[in-house]
Amino acid sequence: MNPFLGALELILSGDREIFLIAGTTLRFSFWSTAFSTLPGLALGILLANHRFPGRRAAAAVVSSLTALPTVVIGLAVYSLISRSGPLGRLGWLFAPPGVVLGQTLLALPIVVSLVYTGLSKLDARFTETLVTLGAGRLRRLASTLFEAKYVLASALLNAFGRVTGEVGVSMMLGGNIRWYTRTMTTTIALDTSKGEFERALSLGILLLTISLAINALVHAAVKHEE
Amino acid sequence: MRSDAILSIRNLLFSYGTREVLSIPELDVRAGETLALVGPNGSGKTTLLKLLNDLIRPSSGSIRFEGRPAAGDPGLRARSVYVHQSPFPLAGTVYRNVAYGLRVRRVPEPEIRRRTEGALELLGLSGFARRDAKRLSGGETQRVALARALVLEPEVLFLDEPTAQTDRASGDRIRTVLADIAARGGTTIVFSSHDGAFAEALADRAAFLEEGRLLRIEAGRARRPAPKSHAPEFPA
Amino acid sequence: MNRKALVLALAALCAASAFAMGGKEAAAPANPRIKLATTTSTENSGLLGYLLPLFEAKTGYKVDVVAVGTGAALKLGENGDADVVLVHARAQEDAFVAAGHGVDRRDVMYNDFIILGPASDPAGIGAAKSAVDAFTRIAGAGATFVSRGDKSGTHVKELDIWKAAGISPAGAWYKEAGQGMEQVILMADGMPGYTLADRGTWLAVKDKTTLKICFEGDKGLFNPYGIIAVNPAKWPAANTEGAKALIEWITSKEGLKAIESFKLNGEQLFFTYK
Repeated sequence: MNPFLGALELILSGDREIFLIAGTTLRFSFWSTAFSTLPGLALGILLANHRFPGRRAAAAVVSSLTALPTVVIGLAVYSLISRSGPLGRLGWLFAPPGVVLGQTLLALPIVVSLVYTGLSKLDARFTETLVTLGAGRLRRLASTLFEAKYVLASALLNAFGRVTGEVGVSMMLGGNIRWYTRTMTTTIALDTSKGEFERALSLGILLLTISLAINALVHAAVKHEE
Repeated sequence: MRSDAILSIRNLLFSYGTREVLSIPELDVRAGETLALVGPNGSGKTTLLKLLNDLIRPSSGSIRFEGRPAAGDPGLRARSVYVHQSPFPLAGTVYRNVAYGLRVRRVPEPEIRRRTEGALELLGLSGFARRDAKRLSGGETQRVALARALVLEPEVLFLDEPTAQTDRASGDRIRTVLADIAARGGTTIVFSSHDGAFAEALADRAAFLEEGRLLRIEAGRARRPAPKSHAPEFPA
Repeated sequence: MNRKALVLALAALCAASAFAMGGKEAAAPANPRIKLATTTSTENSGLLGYLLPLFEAKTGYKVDVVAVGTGAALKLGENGDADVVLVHARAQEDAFVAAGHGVDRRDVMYNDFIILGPASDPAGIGAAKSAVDAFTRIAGAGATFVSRGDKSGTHVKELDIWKAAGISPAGAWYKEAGQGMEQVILMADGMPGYTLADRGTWLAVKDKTTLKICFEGDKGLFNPYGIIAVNPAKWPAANTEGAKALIEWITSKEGLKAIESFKLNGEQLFFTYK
């Protein structure tokens, strides 16, 4: 069958499991993006606006962390939240909090890096204007966030898109548990391993549609900024 | 230091790395005067204006505002304002831009409205309040930036090429407004300009800069002839 | 897109995500979630999808299935990351209990391994007298063999047979896939080559391949499944109550009957001890 028709049928069939899987995916992505927002903004602003020794090195590290393989994050968090690990008593492994923790760590460098680059691109005249008009430190911070709001929105949407499409963290920390931690990507991986390529492809198209929608938002945000 | 100096510069040196950008042994800005900075591009006019407004700090030497060090002085910050040659419009409406400094100063909202509308009207921007500040012409942006500064009723005004990059109408408006302020007295204005005729007409004195050096200071042809004691000065 | 549309779209995204937060099931027991680490053969054949809802409906527990290879499943139990394991590698299961990682091991069910291969059976293992003989013929012919290579129960069984045949498999003909059973069957189909598979997975995927069963029926290919609770003395936080309930139910008359009645395409996949 045509996989596009298959995708359409998957959506239209009203299959409870598909909606649950899509919902789980969005839920995990929402929380991990939400949790990466505050520290991401704080670190990004720190990197962009404050001069301290090792700042350039820190920026380079953050930017290379955006390319960190998901399985590496998965492995690190796994050893952290396994019952035999330091945070074992939380019982987060193979449960939503584990996935959200891993995805938050995945999203964080993306947010930091994009906020940092976005703010670095702000004109020098911008800060001078705030200063000469008498704005203090806090007011300047608030005004900077307002000035760069589209950059920030696009950073968050980028992070959201990244965690929506990742499979390593969800698989290793979520365990692909049906009705619980199964996401679109782990379902695709499972269907592929079972040889159910058509369903996998249809799900892939559904996922692609979601990320395309998110990317359209990113571009709209960036375009508006320009 | 002259007793009527509001800003005084001594042994000022500003450099980027090893490149010396500005070196001024002595310069006083007198309270209430209009001082023009005249010189070609790269002569250090912008640097001097930013130094006087404490937007950048000298590599060595001192700048004093009413006798106190200018660096970090809250009085200088509250009572003076600098306008870029090519101003940066803040995100949002023209109204937000002009009201910004008043909000910073926690002025009550009704007064902000009154003063902002007044400043907009002064610069012929009455219909512009709701416009997106990022989508204005060069001349309009220049007028918004001037309104944004004047609404604060500053005692010291630093203007970097206030009529550069403006269309004729905007330029005329700005020249008229500045001439009025100068004529009214009470405001110290330091400005740079390529527009020789305008500078001469507006300024009490003109400081000539070249390659980061202060060449000489001449009396301008301002409407208020400088008192005798304000004869041209030439630093040693 | 203008700003309003962007804000609207963002709000819609948040709303959709927030909407997806709902949907928690009611639960009866104090600690209702049981983590079951098991092999891909039980999960992907559909057995657990058939079995566990019956258990859940009866007890109010919710079983979270993590399907990996037997080796990985036992490791999860060892680290306390599962409450109960359902696997098929008897020697390793006994070692697991002996090492104090698990308690209360019980036999659950069995099926058998089969040797799959191309319909042409190039190594002629159809005529083999035993599984060891079949493996010897494959190695002798240098025919392609795809190994799980993932310490799964099937992999362990395969290595046992090679050992019994006195062969240490290596060379271009021997491919270690490091993948799950379905994947390995599909790979063997694509190459084509032989592979050792459990019957349950084979029945679940056979329609997607051109492979056939080239050898079966040797008692050396017996494939028993056992269930073990993770040692509560070692992992007090584990859901011992839940593990016990699952073990009791799955080995009860009702549970065993359910296993017997699970069919895929009309064929029974797993058998219980009478």
